Amino acid sequence: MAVGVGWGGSARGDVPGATEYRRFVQPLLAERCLGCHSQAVVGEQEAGVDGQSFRADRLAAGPAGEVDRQWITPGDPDASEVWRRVTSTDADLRMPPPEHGSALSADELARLQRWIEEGAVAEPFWADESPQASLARKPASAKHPSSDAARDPVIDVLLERAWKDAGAAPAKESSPEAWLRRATFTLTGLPPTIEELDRFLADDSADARERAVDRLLASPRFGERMAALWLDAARYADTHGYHADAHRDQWRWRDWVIDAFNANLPYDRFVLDQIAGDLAGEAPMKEDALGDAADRRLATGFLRNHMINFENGAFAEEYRAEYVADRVHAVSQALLGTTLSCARCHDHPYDPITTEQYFQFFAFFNSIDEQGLDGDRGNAAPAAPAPTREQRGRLAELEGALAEIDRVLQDREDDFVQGQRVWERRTRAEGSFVATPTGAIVRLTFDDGTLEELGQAKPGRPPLDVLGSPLLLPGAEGGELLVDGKSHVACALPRPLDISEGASVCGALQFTSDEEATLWEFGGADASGSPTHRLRLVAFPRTQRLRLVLLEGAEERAELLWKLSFERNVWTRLAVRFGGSDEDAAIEAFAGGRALSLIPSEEKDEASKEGVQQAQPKLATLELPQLRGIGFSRFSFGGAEEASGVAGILDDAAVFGRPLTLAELDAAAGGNAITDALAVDEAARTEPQTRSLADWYRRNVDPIARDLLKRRDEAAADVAAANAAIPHAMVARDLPQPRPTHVLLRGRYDSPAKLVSPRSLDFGSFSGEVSRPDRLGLAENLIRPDHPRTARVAVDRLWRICFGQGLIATPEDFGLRGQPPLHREALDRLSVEFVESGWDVKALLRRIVLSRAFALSDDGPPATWSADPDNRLFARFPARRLEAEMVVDRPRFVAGTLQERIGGRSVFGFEPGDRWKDLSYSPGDFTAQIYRSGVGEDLYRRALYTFWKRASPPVTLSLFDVSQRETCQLVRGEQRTALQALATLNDPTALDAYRSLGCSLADEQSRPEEDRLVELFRSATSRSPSTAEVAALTRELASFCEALAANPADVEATLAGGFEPLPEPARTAERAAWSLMATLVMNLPEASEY
Amino acid sequence: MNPTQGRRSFLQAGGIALGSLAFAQLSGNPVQADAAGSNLTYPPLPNLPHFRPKAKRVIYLFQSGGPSQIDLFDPKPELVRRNGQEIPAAAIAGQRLTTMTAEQSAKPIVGSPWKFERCGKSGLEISELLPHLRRVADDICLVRSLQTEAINHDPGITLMQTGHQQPGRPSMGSWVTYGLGSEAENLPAFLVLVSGGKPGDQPLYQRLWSSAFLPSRYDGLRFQSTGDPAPYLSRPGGVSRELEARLHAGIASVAAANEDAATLDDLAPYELAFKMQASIPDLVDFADESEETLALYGDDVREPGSYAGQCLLARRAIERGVRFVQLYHRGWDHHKNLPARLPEKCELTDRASAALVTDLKRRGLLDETMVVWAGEFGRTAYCQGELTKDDFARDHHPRCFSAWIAGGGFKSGFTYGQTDDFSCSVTENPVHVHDLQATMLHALGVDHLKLLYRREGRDYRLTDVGGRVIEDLLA
Repeated sequence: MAVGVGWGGSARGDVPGATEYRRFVQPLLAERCLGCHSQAVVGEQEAGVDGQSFRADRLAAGPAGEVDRQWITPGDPDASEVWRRVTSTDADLRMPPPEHGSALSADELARLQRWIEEGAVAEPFWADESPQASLARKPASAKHPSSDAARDPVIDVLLERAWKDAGAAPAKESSPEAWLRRATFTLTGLPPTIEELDRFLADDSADARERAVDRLLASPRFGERMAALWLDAARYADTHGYHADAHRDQWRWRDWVIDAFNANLPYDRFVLDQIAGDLAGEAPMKEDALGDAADRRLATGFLRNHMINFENGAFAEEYRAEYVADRVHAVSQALLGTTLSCARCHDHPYDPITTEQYFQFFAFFNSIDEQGLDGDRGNAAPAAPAPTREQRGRLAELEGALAEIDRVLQDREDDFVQGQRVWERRTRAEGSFVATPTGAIVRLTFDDGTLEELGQAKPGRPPLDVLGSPLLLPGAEGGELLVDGKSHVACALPRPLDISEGASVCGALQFTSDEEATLWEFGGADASGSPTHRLRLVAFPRTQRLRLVLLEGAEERAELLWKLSFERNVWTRLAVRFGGSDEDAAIEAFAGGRALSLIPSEEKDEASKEGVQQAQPKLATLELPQLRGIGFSRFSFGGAEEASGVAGILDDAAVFGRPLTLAELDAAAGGNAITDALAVDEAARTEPQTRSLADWYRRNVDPIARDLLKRRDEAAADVAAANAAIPHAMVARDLPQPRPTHVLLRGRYDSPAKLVSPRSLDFGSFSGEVSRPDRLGLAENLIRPDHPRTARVAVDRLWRICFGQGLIATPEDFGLRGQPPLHREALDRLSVEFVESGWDVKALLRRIVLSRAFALSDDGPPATWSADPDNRLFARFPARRLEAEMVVDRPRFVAGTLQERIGGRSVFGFEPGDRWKDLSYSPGDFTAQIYRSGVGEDLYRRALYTFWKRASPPVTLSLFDVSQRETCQLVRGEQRTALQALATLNDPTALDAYRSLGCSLADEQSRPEEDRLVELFRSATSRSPSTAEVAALTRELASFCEALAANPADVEATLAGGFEPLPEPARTAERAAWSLMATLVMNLPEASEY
Repeated sequence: MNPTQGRRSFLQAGGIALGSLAFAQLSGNPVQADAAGSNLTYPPLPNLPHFRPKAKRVIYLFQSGGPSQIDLFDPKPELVRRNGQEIPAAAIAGQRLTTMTAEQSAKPIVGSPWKFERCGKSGLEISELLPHLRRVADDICLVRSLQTEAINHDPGITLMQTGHQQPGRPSMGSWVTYGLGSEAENLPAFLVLVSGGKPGDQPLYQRLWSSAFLPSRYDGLRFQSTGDPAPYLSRPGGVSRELEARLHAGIASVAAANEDAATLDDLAPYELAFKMQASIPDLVDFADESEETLALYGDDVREPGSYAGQCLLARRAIERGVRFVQLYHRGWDHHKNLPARLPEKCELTDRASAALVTDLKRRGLLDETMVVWAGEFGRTAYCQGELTKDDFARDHHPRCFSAWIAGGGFKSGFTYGQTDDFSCSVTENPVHVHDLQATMLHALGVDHLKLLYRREGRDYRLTDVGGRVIEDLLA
C-alpha cells in the first residue's frame, strides 16, 4: 500500500536518506519481503548468505539503526546482496520469487538504487524507539520554538510545516458556530444549546475558545462521552456473550471509567489501575476528587470484561485459556497498538515477536483466580463489592452506630456479670427453671382449650385461622393439635417480617405418614392483598430430605435442601435460622437443636447429570439476600392453603425476628443445655456452658442487656442490609501461588510445552524486563516514560477522538506492516510532552481542540483532496457523522427530555419488536433472555447506559457502527445507510423527542412563526438558517398544515406513540405539523454531522 | 462510503441528484426502481468475481443444534446390528467427547430405528424421516464427511458461519456481499431469517451474521418474526404514505436550500429508506403467490416466522437479487428423547426444504442459486443417558456429519465422502468446514485465498488459514 503521499520532501532536520528509508524502503520491505523473511519463517538462526536468513525486519539492526552490511553496502548497489537479488533475471534467484509476486517496478527499483547510492541511511523502526530517543537524534537546529503565543508550538507549527512541504493549502477555517458544535460534540457527545451558541458568538474576547473548552472539559458529560469510546476498546457488556449469554453486573466498572475521565485520572494511573489496581495499594489522590475512580480494585474489571462461557459439556480449561488470550489481545491492542494475537500459534509473521514472548506476556494474566466455566448465575468469580461513594458513606455511618452500641455493651459488662451472678443464685434457689427463648413475634401453643378460642386474639398472639378440621388434644404440657394433610392453622404477623434481617422459626411435629408435606409457610402479599412470594418448608420423609423453597407466584425461584432422618410418631423439634451469628449470614436448619447437613450442590449436579441438565433446570440456591425486601405478613403451620400439610401432631411453633443463639435453639428444642449449665458451679463449667449461660442471661433475662442486644441486632442487620445492597463487579484477583504458564503449541489449551516466566514486551532496545513477576510489574513497565508505545498510542487515540482518524492510520497496528504516521514528529513531541505533563488527558485534549487543524472546514482547494484523499495531512476537516450514542442522545437532549444522571445499573430502553426472543436460550433458566423495555426515566437516559446484550446489541446503536463488544475494537465505521435513516425517522425514542420538541414550539403561539423555525433549525444544526432556508422551512410548515387539515387521521397518527401522554389539548393539527417539522429538521443530513 | 473521501467524490461517483429523488413523487405510487442510484448500493469489489461463477446467490438453511447424521443421512446397518452393545473403544479412540458423556459409564450403541432407502435415479440414501427430501434426491449433493473442530454449539456454529471458533470475524454472508455486492434494488444485500426457537433450543448470536471488521453495511439484516420485519421500517402510529412522502420531500427541499449543494448526496440513505418502506413489505407479502405454491411449502407457510414461511421468503428475496439469505432453524440439539424430537423437527422442516429446491428448479433459478443445508456438527453413535426400548439420545459429534447442497453449480444426485461403520470417523474424502466454505466461495466465482481484508497488518479471509476447494463436489 502506498503510504507515501505524493510529496517526497524530507522532513526538516532529518539526516538525508532517513526520510526515504522511512517512507519508502521500510514499507517496501514490509509489503514485499516480510511475508517470508520474518521471525516466523526464518527464525533466530545466525545470519549467513545462504539466502534464507535475511530478515526484513532486521535490516536496520545496528545500535543507531544502521543497515546490516551483509545485505546492503552503502553507496554501492552492485555490491549489495539485496540489490542483486531484486534485479536478478534468474528466476531461481530473483526476489520476490515469481510465485510470491511480481518483480519490483522500475520506479521502485530506481528509488531503491538511489537510496543505496546515497548511503543507505536507515534508522531504527520508528515505533520501537522511544519518542524521546527519536527526537534526540534530530539536530538541535530542528527545535522550533513558536514566536506566536496563539499557535500551538507542536500541533500548529509542525502541521503547517508539513502542509507547506507537501504543497497542500489548508482549508479555510470553520465558522465559530461550527467550531463550537464540533468541540461540544467531541468533548461531551452532545450539541451546544442555543444559549451556549449565543453566549459564545457574543463573546469577542481573545480567550473565548479556551474558556469554552475549559467549560466542556469540566462538564460531567465529558466523562460519559470519553467512556463510551473506551467501552468499545475494553469490550464492556452486560452479558457474558458465549452460548446462553446471561447477564453480568459489571456496570460499576463502567462508572469507574466515567469518573476516571471526569476526575482527569492521569493516564499512567488509568493504565496501571486497570491492569493491576488490585495490587497497587491505596489511592494516592484524594478520594473525593476521584469519585468511583478511587476504587483501584474496581478498575481491574477491565481484565474481566472478556466473554465468559458456561455451555454445558464444554471444557473449562479451553475457555480459561481463551479468557487469558483475550486479555493479552485487549491490552496489547488498546494500550500498545500491537497485534500480538498472531504469535499465539506461531512466531509473529511480521513483527519480531516469538511465540515464547507471547506466552511470557500471557503469563501475567494467567494467575487470576477464575473458573473456565462460570457465570451461569450472574458474575463469574472473582468478583468484589464495588460500593458507590454514597454507599461507602452510609456504610461507615451504620458501622459507627453499631460500634457505639458495642461500646455501651462493653461499658456495662460489669453490671451484667454481677446481675448474672444474682440471677443464677436466685434461679438455683428456686429450683424450677424452664428455659424458653423470649421475644417471639408469634407463638402457637394450642393450650387454649377449644378450637374456638384459637380463633380469638389473646395477649402476645393474634387470632388463628383454622382450616380443615384438626383435633385439639390434651397433652402432658398443655394442648397439641392433631391434623390431617388438609388442616393447618395460620395467622397474620403483627408487622411484615423481612427475613433477610435475621429470623428463626421453631416448631414441634410428630409425623404419622410418609407423604411429602409442607410443615410451615410464610406468605407475602402486595398492597392489594394478592400473594407475591412464599417461603415454604417441605418434608420428604421417604427421601429423607427437608426442603426450603422460595416461590414467586406459582414459580419456584430458589431452594435449599437438608438431610433429615424422619421418625414416625416421635416428636421432632425443627428450627430454621436465618442469618445466624456467622459472617456469611447462612440459612441453617436444626432438628433437636442439632444442625442438619446441607445437601451440597455438587451432589445435585451429579444427580442431574444422569439425565440432561437442561431438561431439569437446576433451581438456584436460596441465599439470604434473595429474601431482602420481601415483607412476609402471614405464617401458617402444618401446611398452607394451597399445599397439603403434614399428617400428624403439631405444637409449640414460634417465629422470632432475630436469629436465635445455639443455646436458645437448644432450649426451644426442649434441650436442657441451659438448665444443666446452671446446675454446674461457675468454676466447673465448660467454656461453651459459660458462654451459653452468659448469652442466655443477656438475651432473655436482663432487661437492659436485652434491649441493647436487640438494638445491636437491628444495627447489625442495617449493616448487613447496607452491605447486601452494594453491587459487585468482576475484578482481577490472583491465586496465592501463580499458575505455571507454558507455551501452548499452536495456541491450544491442551498442548503445553516449555515453561515460561512473565516478561513484558521488548521493543527494539527497550527491555520488557519487569521489577516483579506479576501484573503490577507489567503495568510499571508499560508506564515507563520511555516506553515506545504507551504514550504514543494514547496520544493517537485522543487525536482520533477529535478528528475521527488518528495520526496513525492503523491504530491496531503500530508494527512493521502498519502505516507509519505522516506527522511523526508531532506525534513524538506530543507524546513526550504528554508524559511530562503528568499524563494529563484533559490538557492534551485541550491542545488538540484548540489547534488550527481542528478549526478547519472541509471547504478548501480540491487539489489538496485529490493529492491526499485520506486526509493524512489533516489539512481539512471533513464533517463527521454523529457517533452512535450521539444519534440516540441528541433528540432527547434537544427536546429537554434527556435524563442526565451519572452511572448506575444499565437500563432497558426502548427496543423494537422482541429482538431477543428469536435468539435466546432458556428464559426459565437464565437471565437476559427476554427483553423487557424499561419505563419512566430508563427510556430517557444517555445511550451509554443501555443494557448491552452481546448476542443482540441495542439495535439503534448497532446500526450506527458501535462495536459488538465481543472483542477489543478500536475504530468505528462512519457508514451512512438506509437503515440508519429509518432509525432516525422512526425510532420511537427519537419520535418521542421530536413530538415533545414540536409540541412545545407549537404551543408558543405568541412567538412569531419564523423565530420558532429559526430556533428549531439552530437546535439541530447549531447555525442560523439562510433566507432561502427560512423560506423553505416556512413553506414546509405550511405544507404540513395543509396536508393535515385535509387528512385529520394523520394528526392522530403523527402524535400517536410517544412514552408519556401529551398534555391538553392533546392532539391539535398545529402540534402535529410542528412535530413533523422537528422530525424534518432533525433529519437534515447536516444535522447528523458535526 | 468512506467519509474521509469527502462529499464531492461521492457526487462524482454518480450519486443522486435532487431530480432523481423518487420520493419527490407525492403520489404514493409503488416505487419504481431507480436505475441511476440503486445499483450502487452494494457494488462488487473491482476485481470480483475472480472467475466465472456457477452460482450467483446463496440460501443457507442452517439447522442449529446438530442434526443426527446417523438418523438422517448416513445409514449404518452395523449400528443397528450392534444396538445396545458397548461402542468399541477403538471407534472413539482419540476423540474429544463432551463433558456430558465423557465420563458416562456405559456408551451403548444406538442403531437408527428409521429406515433408509435409495431414492431417485441416483439412488441417494435418505432416511424415511425426510420423505419430501427423498423426492428431490436427484437434485442434491450429499456430503457425508464434513468435519469440524468444535464440540460445543457456540464455537461450532461460529466456526461454520465465520470460519473461526472465537468471535470477531466477519460472517460468510458478509464476506460474500463485501466481495460480490448485490443485485437487489432497494433491499439489503444480506438477509437473515430465524425460525424455530423454543425455550431450550440452542441460542443464536448477532456475530453469526455480523460484518465484524468489514464495513458495517455488510452486516446481515435480521428480519424479526414479529412486528416490522426490519427495525423501524414504519413510523409508529402509521401516518399516511402521502404524509410520509411529504416529510421526505421536505427534508430534500430544505436540504436543497442550503447553498452547499454537495450535502445532497447524504440524502441517498433517505431515498433508499423510503423505497425500502415499500419494497420490504412487498417482499414479505405472499399475496401474489399461487395457492399451488403455498401448498408446496406446506400449511404453516402463512404463519409468521415458520420455517416454511421463511423458505418461501428466501426464494422471494433471491428472486429480487438479494445475494445471500441466511436462514436458521433452531432445535436440533437432541440430548434426550431423540425418537420423539427428531421426527418433530423433520416434520417442521422437511417439506419446505424440499419445496424450496423444487420451486427454485421449476422457476429456473436453481442453477444459479446455491441452497445449503447444514448444522454445526453431528451426533454420537452411542447413546447419551440410558438406552431403553423406546428412548435414546445422542451427544455432540464433530468428527463427521452430513450436509447437502442443491444447485449453484454443485453436482446433483451425488454422494461424497464416507464414514466408518460407526459413523465415528471419516474414512474417505474428508471435508473440513473451511473446505466447504472454500468450495462455496469457488462456486460463487471467488478464490477464497484472494478475498482478503487487511487488519492488524494481517490479511484475513473467511477460511482463516485453511480451506481447499473440493472440485469433486462441483458439476
